[in-house]
Amino acid sequence: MKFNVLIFAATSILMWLSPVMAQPTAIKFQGNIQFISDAPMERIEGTAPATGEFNIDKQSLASISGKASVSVAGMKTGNDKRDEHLRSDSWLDAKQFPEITFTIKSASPNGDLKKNGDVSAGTVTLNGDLSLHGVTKSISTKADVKWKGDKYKITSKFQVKLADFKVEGASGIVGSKVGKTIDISVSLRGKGN
Amino acid sequence: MKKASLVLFGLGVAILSYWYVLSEPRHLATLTQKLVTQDGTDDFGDPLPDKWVDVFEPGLDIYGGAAGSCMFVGGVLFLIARRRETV
Repeated sequence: MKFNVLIFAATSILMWLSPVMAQPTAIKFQGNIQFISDAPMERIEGTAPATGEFNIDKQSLASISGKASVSVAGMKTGNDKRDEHLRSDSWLDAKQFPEITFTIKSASPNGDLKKNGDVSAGTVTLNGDLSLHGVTKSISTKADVKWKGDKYKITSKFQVKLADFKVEGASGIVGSKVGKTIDISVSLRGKGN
Repeated sequence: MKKASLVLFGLGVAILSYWYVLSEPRHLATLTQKLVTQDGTDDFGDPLPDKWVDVFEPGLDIYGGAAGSCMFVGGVLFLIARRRETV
């Protein structure tokens, strides 16, 4: 009888603790974005440093939340003069809008989690607000979330239309020297429990 | 002098043509750094990220400047030669 009571008590305590034990882990990420502008006259490739803080529950990627930021001042394209123009007020205006941010509003998993050796991975569709050049728009993007031990990695690819964020540049350049749509690849790495 | 002006003008056209036809990839702006793909994979089995390496790939800013200078000097020499003929 006493043994049964002990088992019942232990089970109750574990059931009470399980929501606590399954709490999402807050993890700080660092990495970069790579962007490509493909215009008729020129193809421009560049990078910018990115950071993020995400809450990730390995048991349920649908609960992923958090925010990523990209430094506009850190953008580089391989030509210093062009980088200056990129940061100027006729383009991304780094002084007034120093960061590009993406805040997750909701997430929905795409398929089951996969395990390849000691790497677990899942794909989620992230719905959130992208703020760029003072304009905020809702976007959705697929992201791959991987973890191995206490290491995490988030990657994603999406496109941004410059006109949607009122980035016009000098007259005639967008569409000829700078692509109207920019391809963006995000890669962030973090460490947590 | 007229010959020299024609040579310089032709040189300017040749420089621009080289940039347009033969320089690959064709840049508008000179690149001093470039993203290159790295061999290998990271600890997640993904390809390593591209990294920046120092390069010097002249763009139209340099080719155009050189071609323009040749054509300008060629034009000046041509005008001087014509003036001498008329005097």
